[in-house]
Amino acid sequence: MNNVLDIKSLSFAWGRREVLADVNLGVRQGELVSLLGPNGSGKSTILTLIAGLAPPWRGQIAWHLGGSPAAGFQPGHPDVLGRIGVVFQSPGLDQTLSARENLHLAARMSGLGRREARRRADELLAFAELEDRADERIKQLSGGMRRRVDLARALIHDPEVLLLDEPTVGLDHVSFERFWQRIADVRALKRLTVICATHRPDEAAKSDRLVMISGGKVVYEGTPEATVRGLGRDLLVVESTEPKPQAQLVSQQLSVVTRVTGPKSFVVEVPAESDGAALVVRVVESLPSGSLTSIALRRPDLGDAFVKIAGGSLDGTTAAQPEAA
Amino acid sequence: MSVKSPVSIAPPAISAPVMPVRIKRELGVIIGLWQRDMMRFRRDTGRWVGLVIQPMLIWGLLGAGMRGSLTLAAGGKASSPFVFYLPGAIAMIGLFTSIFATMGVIEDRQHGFLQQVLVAPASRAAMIIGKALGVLSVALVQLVLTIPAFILAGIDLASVAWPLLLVVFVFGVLAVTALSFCLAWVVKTTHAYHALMGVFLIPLWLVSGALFPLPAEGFIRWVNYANPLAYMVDGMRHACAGGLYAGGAWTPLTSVLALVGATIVGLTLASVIARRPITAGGG
Repeated sequence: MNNVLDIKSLSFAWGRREVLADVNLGVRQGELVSLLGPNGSGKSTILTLIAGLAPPWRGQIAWHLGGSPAAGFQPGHPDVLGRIGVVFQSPGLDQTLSARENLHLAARMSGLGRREARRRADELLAFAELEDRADERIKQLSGGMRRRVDLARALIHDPEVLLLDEPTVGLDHVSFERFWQRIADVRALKRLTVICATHRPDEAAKSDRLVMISGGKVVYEGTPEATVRGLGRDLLVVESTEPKPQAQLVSQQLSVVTRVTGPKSFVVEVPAESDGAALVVRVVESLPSGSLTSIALRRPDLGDAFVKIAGGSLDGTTAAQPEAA
Repeated sequence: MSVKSPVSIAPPAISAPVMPVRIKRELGVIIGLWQRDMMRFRRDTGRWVGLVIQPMLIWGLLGAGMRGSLTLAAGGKASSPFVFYLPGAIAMIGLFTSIFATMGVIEDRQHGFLQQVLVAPASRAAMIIGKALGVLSVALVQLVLTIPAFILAGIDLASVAWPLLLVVFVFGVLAVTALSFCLAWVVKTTHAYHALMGVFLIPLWLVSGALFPLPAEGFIRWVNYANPLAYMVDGMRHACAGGLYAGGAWTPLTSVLALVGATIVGLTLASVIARRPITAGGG
């Protein structure tokens, strides 16, 4: 299958701060790719560059959309911008205008005529289930509703590619799921290519392919399922008063792998031959009295995979930590 | 949940004639941004109309304060301070409107709206023209609101060279808007923009001839060769005096040509500056 986007040896710096170093990435048509990494890892910068909002420092970005030359279109080319929709981290809506006016404005800016713009705005208000709030100003809508308008705005010109930059930041679980249900609905109707920058493991889990970004570099590529499956073992999440020495203590006493994941937490990998429930009891017994806040057994997720592969946590609370055992 | 109709129109066909599609997109951004400014103007008419009050107040106070103590050799009825200061006050309205409208560029960037405009399939020039036309439309409404001041100043409305006044005002506002846009693009905060406004844009108005006749030579004269507000004030003074303004720094034609040139240079410069990246990295 042909790639719609090819990134080769991409490097970029904001001022003197290098944020991307030798990034290579291909995205196939109809694919949903997640760029997973903590804040500052460079994933949003990748979206900025492929949207044409800044020129690459080094390397190449080529869009292969229908009718493009052999070498592809450069980012920022009007024929590319006419075929991509972007949902930025901060909703790009005019707060003083209504949802309908924002959509109408976006449609006009995409080159649609007045009548067509009005029709598309009405269609997408229905898609966003906001017909009854359509004439209220954006600042009167909830965060989830604003996100729905923002998604509708990005889809107003029926793009072939959708770029999502932390699209669900600040949304509760219900709004999060509704947002992604809408993306799934659109993808069920057409071969929409989606590239999503996120630091949320549950968001990255929605993708066909996962690309982990750390320190401006691609450190891993794979499907979410295979990535989690590769971790294998369950995890004990321990919240305690002094995670670093206590993780070492548990590791030494029980001969298990532990990893500090936050200022008040560490995880214990449940060995393949062990019973997780039994290990809970042993960990509780090994910790000093009064040091344990909580303990829970759970399946590993992409956040754990990121910690294991990239060495740092997605929420940025911990830098790379060596395994305690 | 069911999808109603999110994907019902064909994407823009690449095989379609390239020029018409491109022109349609360029016009789309120009019209879209102009419409947005008009919608915001309707929503917040009081704020924009309020921008007329301060220059008119300054005009009234200067006129009243200088009456009897200042005689300006400006030909015809221009010897009245009210007549002399009126073009400067109108230029100030255009300047204030440009400043506050382009300050919106900084707010748009902070709120994410500007990024959306930048990923629209059109050139940066289209974005700037759309913004400038929005500012101009608001300024023209404000110009209409100043007509009573002409009567109060004792200017015979029938003697005013309205086409000249309109042309000078339109290109003056466009030139100043382009200049303000350049400043708004390169600064990061509205506070920094306020500071630039105080040390750059307002002084340009002060030396433009709005407050005192332009000297025939010297530093201020040289500054004003590159000051669109000076041509704007001088051109409007010609227009207000109905062709009897003898003390002008330039001829009306010179003012018009200079302002058209400043507009072209300003919009071109703004288009180039607007290619600079606006975000400073995120995740």
